[in-house]
Amino acid sequence: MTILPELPVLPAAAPTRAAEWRSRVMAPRVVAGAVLLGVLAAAVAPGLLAPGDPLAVHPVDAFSAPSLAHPFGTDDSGRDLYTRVVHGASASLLIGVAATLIGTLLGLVLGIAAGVGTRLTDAAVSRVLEVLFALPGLLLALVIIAFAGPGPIPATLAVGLATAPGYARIFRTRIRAVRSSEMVEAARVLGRGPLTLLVRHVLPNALAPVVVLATLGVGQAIVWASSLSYLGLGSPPPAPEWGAMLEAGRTYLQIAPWMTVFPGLAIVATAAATTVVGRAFAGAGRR
Amino acid sequence: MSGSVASGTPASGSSSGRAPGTGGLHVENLRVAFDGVDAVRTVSFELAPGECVALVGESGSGKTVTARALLGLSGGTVTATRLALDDTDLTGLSERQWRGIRGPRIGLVQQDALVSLDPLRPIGREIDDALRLHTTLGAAERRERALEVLAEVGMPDPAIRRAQRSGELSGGLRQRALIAAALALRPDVVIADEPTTALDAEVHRVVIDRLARLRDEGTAVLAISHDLGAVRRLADRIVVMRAGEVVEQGPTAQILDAPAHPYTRALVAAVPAGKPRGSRLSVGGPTVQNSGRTGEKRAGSPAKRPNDQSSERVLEAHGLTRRFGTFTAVDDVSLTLRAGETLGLVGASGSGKTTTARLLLGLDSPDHGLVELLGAPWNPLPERERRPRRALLGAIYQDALSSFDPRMTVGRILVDALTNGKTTRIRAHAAQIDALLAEVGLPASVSSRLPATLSGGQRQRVAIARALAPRPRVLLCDEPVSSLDVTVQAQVLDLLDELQERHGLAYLFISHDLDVVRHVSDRVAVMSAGRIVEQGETEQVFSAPAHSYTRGLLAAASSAD
Repeated sequence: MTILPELPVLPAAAPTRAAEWRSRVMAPRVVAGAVLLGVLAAAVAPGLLAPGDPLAVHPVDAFSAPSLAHPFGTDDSGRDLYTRVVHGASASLLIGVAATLIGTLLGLVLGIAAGVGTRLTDAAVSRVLEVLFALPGLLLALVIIAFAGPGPIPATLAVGLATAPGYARIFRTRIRAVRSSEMVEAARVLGRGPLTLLVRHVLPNALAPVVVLATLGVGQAIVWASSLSYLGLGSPPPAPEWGAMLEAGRTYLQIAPWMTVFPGLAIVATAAATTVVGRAFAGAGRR
Repeated sequence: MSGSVASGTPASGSSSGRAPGTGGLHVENLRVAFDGVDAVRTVSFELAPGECVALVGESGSGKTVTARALLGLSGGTVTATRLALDDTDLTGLSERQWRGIRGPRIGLVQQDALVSLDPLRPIGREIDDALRLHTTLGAAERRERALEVLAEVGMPDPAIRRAQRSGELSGGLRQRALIAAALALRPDVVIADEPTTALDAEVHRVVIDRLARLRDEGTAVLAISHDLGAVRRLADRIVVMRAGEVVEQGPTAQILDAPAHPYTRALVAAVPAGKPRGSRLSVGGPTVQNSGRTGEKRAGSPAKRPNDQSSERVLEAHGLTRRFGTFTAVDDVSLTLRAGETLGLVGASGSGKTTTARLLLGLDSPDHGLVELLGAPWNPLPERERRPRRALLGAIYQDALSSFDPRMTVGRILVDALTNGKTTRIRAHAAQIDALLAEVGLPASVSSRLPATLSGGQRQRVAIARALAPRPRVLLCDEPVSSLDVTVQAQVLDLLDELQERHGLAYLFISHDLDVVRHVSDRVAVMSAGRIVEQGETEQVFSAPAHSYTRGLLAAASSAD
């Protein structure tokens, strides 16, 4: 459904266009890819990047500003922040990925139920989704934690459940669109039954973008999980989790700003990098 | 109202004081390259005031690129020995200088009125923009001028239409609005890029008339078209393009009646108008097995046509009625299709042709009426009972591409059709796929391609192969050649004809193109406002139409030619 005509290619010489494409499209992707690789390395083998113990306390060094010995500084108990940020990657990434998996899978189930089911199932699922949409996602996560209690696993579940309605809505719409497409009509004319139509044509075409959507969703899930930790509802304080570290540094914002700056940067960089990479996938999928 | 145009045109108006004889557009050795690859080369022609030159050729032949180069919009590297409008050199103009040419000197009427007009702005604003940018007229004068131009192009109630957006106008009115916008500045040259594509016969005639009058009033008109009927009526000279080069140019009558170049001959031969049923349209091409000359009937083919009343009735509709709310889309439609014959279904857009096809295919249920397939009830049955017999009734559509699963290769699409959906694995069926592809004139290598990577004609051939795979008795063809170039259309029509003869297929052929329907059909049914107003032998309906609607339809079409 293209409303606007394709724009004529502007009369620019080819080489400059290629150069511009390199600097405006490719450069951010390369940077994002590098950041993401760094975060992945930190998550898989934190000991290699930061050999120290993230929980080791050195009260003597408390509140040291960033220096050669402590590149990100130290916190109120003298723990090395660089070590903690590196070791926190696995927790943040794990929560982000797990929450997104939960969200997309639940979204798939709901979306398929609404998109494929009878008018009644569609109406029922859609109304539930609309109610969930009425609540802000983070608020929904808070409600879920209120029932399940704090901790990293409830936080993951909560973020997953809170993002599910969005995915469900996208899948429902796509399934509906493919079901009424000419291609499915042509298959019906050839005598295909409802099950073949669904398995062979509708679901593969409707759900193709799930990977792209999930990649885009990981960044958001990381931010949400960190928010919950910041509120003290995720990983408990001594654990090196980025959100929890933000919360710990909040009290000392004036005397030791590095306590919040570095974990905050880690969250922003990771979320932004996953989003840029996800968008690159989405663009490749459209082409 | 024509006087106001004449007063501002270069032929009679001497405001710019140019010498007679040097006026018009001069194109010499035009070359347009994209990234070093020539899209158009060695194109030369002259366009004098009061003359219409038509650029003719298949899609991809460089017609549109040429036209856009004349507007400084090609986007590629343009070089030419001479590219001039009157005494203004158009080579090497800056973007700023081009803006002074585009609009006031050279106007453009674009192909697709739906996408060429801003959907959020009233059409009067589009015209007003041009006037505001290029003239010193005040708001009231501009308003006056916009109304005047809209009236000139035959826009009914210009004062009301002026305030409407493109979405509120029909296709014909939109096209007129576009022409009005191009004419508002009274340009010396008007370039019309496929101005009549996708228009009904009647609107088609109005647009051609308007462009003809513009030419008569002294404007130079460059028409780009693959519709040779329209070109014959409008153009003084024709420039035939192929693969970016001019293959032939000359006076209209000479090019169309005595084409010299083989390509022009193929182009002219491909036009179905006036070619009897069963005669070939395409020259060469992959479908040719008995290399017949175009226009010649195949030996013995008329005898094999079982259009007498004795052959088997394969598809019958009795009193089909379908209402959507209070709107009756199909009203008491009855028709009979016999084995081996083609029934043409014609009518303006919105007359209920496609809804009828959907009812026959069992994709929609009628409010009243009955469909029978091979003498057995079809449409009152539930889909579950219809499914095993669906193989008997195939369909091909206008947009072949959107009827394919975009993720499946041609081979998998065909295996799915061959095995009745049991599998999409190619391996065990490779030989059958090759045979099927050969039958529709495609090489076996197409099997591993995705439909999106094929040309329009190839896609329609794959669609035909898919429809043939389950060995149907009846094919419903819904505008199957409407989006194809005339030469490709000729090949597909020839292929359908060949397959019909080989397999004894019955076709219900839906089209808004009367020439195509007349060429392919044994019998014709004419639809208007959901009803079949006339039905009978093709030649009888076309030469002696009984119903006034049919007469009107034919009159509009013939005067458009």
